[in-house]
Amino acid sequence: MNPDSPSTSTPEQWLSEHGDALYRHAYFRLRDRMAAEDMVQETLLAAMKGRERFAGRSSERTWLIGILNNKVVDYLRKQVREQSLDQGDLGDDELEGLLFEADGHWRKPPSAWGDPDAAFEQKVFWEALSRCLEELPARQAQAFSLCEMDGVGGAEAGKVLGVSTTNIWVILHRARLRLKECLEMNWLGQRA
Amino acid sequence: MMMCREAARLITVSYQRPLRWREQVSLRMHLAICDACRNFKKQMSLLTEAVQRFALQGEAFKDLQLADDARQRIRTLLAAQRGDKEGA
Repeated sequence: MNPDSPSTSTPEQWLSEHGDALYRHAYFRLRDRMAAEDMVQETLLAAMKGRERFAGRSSERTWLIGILNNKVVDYLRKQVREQSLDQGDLGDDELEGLLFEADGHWRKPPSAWGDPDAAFEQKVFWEALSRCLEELPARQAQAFSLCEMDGVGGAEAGKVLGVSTTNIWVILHRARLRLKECLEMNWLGQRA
Repeated sequence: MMMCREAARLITVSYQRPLRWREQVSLRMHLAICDACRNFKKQMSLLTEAVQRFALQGEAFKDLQLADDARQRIRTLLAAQRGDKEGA
């Protein structure tokens, strides 16, 4: 029998083995500690209810993360309904203005980062990427993690976050520019 | 003639939706004469692959831990739900 099979693990074991990982995963997407705690709670309660449906084909962690991702989406949708904020106005993001001249040219032309595989072998690269992802503003973090990490499409992410699809693309663009600048500073050590 | 700011936007959005034919042509023409945007395009490709790998293997906020009181609260709720299940 698969040692990860939930039929042998107790929910308390899930909490001790996976609690922190689930919390970090939720916090990464929500940037709110209390909400992230609630997500861990909801995930483990749901997992307990649905354990018979787990066929043991993926790892326990992967299965729990899958439930967590659904809970995160539900939470974000609920935020939009309950807050009824005007999510349409994206406001200004200074970064794009700083990166381009008035005539549309790059102020500082992007440099060649070289072979991706060479980059991926560097510990400093992954440390920088982790830090840069952590430093994304909350809304960019939400959109970016949904679309670029959790496989949610732009239109769907828009519905979840209460913005138009076009605005999702603007948010993702800003996130990418921000990650690019951050990586250059923290990985390649260049000053902006 | 497309400028870099617009080319950069198209490069980003191409990860979310297919570019229209006109957009593809304009972007290709711009990239043919702009080193800077060719580099940006490669940067975005590297970033995309890195993030996808990170999603599978990486973990951000490594020092963050579930607070003790939250952990206890969850433990209590799990026990209560199991109690409900067994009592049913």
